[in-house]
Amino acid sequence: MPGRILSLFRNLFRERAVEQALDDELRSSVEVLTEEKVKQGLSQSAARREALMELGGVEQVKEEVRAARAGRILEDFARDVRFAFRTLAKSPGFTAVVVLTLALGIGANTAIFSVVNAVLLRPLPFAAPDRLMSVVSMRRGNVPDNASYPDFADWRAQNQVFSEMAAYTTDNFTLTGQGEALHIQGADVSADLFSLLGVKPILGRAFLPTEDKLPTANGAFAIVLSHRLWRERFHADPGLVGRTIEIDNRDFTVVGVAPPDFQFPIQGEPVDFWMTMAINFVSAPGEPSMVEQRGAHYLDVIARLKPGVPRAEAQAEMSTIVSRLNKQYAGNAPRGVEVLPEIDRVAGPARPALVILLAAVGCVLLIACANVANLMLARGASRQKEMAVRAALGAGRGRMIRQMLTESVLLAMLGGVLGAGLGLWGISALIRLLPVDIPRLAGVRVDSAVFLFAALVSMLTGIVFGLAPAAQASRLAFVESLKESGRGLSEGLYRSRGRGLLVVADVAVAAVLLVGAGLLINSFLRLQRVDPGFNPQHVLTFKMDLPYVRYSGLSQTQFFERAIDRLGHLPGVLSASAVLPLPLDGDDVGTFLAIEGRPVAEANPLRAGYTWVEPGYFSTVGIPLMKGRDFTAADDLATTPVVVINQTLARQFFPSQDPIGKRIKPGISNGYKASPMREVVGVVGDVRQYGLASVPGPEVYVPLGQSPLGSMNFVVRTAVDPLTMVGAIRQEMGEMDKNLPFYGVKTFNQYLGEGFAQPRFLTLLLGLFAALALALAAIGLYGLVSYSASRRTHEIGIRLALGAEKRDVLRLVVGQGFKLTLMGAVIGAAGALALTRFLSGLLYGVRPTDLPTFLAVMLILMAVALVASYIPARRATKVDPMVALRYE
Amino acid sequence: MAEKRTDLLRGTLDLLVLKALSLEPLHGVAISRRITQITKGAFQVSFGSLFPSLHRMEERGWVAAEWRSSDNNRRAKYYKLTSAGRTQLKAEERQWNQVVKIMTAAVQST
Repeated sequence: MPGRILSLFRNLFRERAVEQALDDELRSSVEVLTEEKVKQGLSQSAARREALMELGGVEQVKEEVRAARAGRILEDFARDVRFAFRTLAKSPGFTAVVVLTLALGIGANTAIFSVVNAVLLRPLPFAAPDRLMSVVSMRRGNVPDNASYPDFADWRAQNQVFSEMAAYTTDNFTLTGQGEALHIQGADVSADLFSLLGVKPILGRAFLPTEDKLPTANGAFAIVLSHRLWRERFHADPGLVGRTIEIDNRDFTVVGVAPPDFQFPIQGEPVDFWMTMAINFVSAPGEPSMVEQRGAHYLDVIARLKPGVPRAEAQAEMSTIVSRLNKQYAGNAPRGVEVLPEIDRVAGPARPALVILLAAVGCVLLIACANVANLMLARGASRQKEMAVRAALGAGRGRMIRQMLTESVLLAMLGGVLGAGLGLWGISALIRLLPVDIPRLAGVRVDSAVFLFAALVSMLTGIVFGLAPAAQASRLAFVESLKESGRGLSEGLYRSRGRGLLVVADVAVAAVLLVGAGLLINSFLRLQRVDPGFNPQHVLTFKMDLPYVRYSGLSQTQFFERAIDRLGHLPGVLSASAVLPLPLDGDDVGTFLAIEGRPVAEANPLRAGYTWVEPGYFSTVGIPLMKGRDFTAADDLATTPVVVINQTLARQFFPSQDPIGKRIKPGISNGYKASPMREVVGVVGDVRQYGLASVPGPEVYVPLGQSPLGSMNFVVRTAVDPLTMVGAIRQEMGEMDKNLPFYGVKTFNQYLGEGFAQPRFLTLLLGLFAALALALAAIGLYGLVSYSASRRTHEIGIRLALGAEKRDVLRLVVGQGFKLTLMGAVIGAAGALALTRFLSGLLYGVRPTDLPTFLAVMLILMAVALVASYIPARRATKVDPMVALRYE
Repeated sequence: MAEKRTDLLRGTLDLLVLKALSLEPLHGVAISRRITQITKGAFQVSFGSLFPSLHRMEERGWVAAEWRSSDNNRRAKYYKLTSAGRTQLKAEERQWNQVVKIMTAAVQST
């Protein structure tokens, strides 16, 4: 119906002409009617009155006609928006406060959401990512662990639920023959990893199926380079494919170059190249290769579900396979298996902290909404007459609610625009703050999802805080409010109670956030006071890897001992040694151990951490020697195998005996070469090896001289600031072998700082949001108390005139705020009791129901409430009774 | 109240207006009078229903309006049926007759 569409345009754009025509028509109708009545013998004025009555009121008829017109809703909307703009512009102070409050809430939400979006929500950048599963081998106690190659091979061969299954692990390598030796990260992967992920190299090809176990035709192993390494070290040379490069003094054939944005594994340091599992088939003469050791758990496994197969089915089948393998290889410790979405494995560890932060900013926004709703209600009260007039002129209830909502949504949108700006700034600040161990952080950016979120939140916000005032506006007793000449003595009970409830809610939510923040701060302070078990001052560490081709067995040990000797003689160095794994570096090398003379419980073997050290390690990093002796250079392959244990191991396994001279055998049943029985020669203090929050477990220390290794962390205690020594140390190491990379340079204090990064981040942000919530709640309370005090000016005047003391007035006004706060605080405390258990995984040394924290929060809230109500209360006492009574 | 009556008439009001206009163009008040006349005084259409109906039909192109002088030399807005309006009138008449037939049969069936 083109006519109606035409009318729509006319109605929208030529509104005035349309209105004029309607007005003319009704006017002429009145005249026609009047004339008719005059003819019937009525006087002119009587006829006119009758005519108007018959018509039924010009304005009412007009409103009916307007309602019938095309595009009515759009037209109203445009009118409402214009009107809302005019109204808001008329009260800039109100508008500014509301928009700012909302902007803070929306901005904080946008910033946190952008991180949540990138880390938790955005699908993995691979084909059909929802079918990518992580298959995790579980060790005793249902602890996630890596899988061994024989297990992986059996899983792959026996399952019917996955279309593809690939294993991978990462390691450190050295790129040589391309200028200065460069430390690079490499990954051993199954040949079909690329096809499993649905990723095609931009140059060359991915691996061939045969390359899973064998080198390429020219005898070298195949590798795919990362785009970054190809660009930075090989000048993006397209001719590189098919050529041979040298890594760890071994030849590899470059078969392809990965796309620029490809990163796998997703978490951890980006990998510079991928090679196949084929290298794991090679072993030193007389030793089993990695792929033959069912006890060597070093692989991660990713798999793609066949279309239509649910995860539960895959889990059931994998469990069946694993229990069959457990029976078949009963000599190995039994394992479990878990199939979980790959994205959960990647993002899972970061989830609790991020979800808590998202909930916290959500609370801040709720408080902002409540505050704004309160402001709108207060303003609504002063607009009562306006509303009553509009209603009398024929505005329907729905129509008025719509107009009020338009106003609030407009406010929310303004807040949203400003908030998005704040959010953008917040995101860049967040990225600087975020601990590096959160996966996919590089992906944090403002994309359409973030904008959609901000827009949606703004809309929703507007509706949430607009509903209360709108409902109020439509509930007005119009006639009453028109008749009422001014304000009554005190405010109507209903409205003040509604506003009071909003403030109570404010305080309650703020209390929950404050308790959460308080617990985290408490926990963080405790964490900082934790004794790591060593002295982190003035210790520099760096890593070096010796390529297997040039260094093996004895020559590895000799290299490290020579290096330690040279480092120890550098001016400024007090002592030097080497260790693997480094405390707090996140590495965990575990082993099972047997104690001489005691039976080995096959199903439940004793487990301990395993650390390789050079002589002098304990004294260099300040681990106290409690008993016995440290290792010496004399502890080598020709002498009695020895071991140093920590206090926890001594206490647990030799509770009432002297452990010195006892013999234990670390390294049983893991498939490595037969481990010797070792004599305990020393006991050292416990170290928080796996993070400050971890409780020290049993540990064994084995001398490098009796268990050679090609990769170590040097530790150097210096007399001066350790970072000033880096140049000299690098030069010294370069003189020993210029083809070795020198990387991972950090001080012990930096490692400690990294351990604090995640708790600090969470504590800081939650603290910030709690402070924001407290400030908003205080503003809300202040607003309510001062508003109601001003409404009670008259009453207060009478009280003062009748002889009330200022103290009484003060008590009256402050009492109101205090009562509301108390209610909010009690409700908030109850809420916190129910909610803080979600924090328990993130707390160190503090229970989620910590009484002192709860009490402190209550005290803070009460103090803030007192201040927020005292200011308006004092103002109320300044009322001059005469002025107050004459007022109005 | 008038409003209740128009609710009853909602479906038939358009038909009555079209019918009233089928002889000659009329202005709003005259249409009201004509309806009273042709329904033998049974229906008195309120202006609060008549004018919205007229404006709706104008937007749909069933009636066209123009300003003219009335018998007493007064300017008034006259509505006349368009050809689309005539078609609509026929259709509504047919529909109405059908409803009447069905309803009569239904009412008499017991």
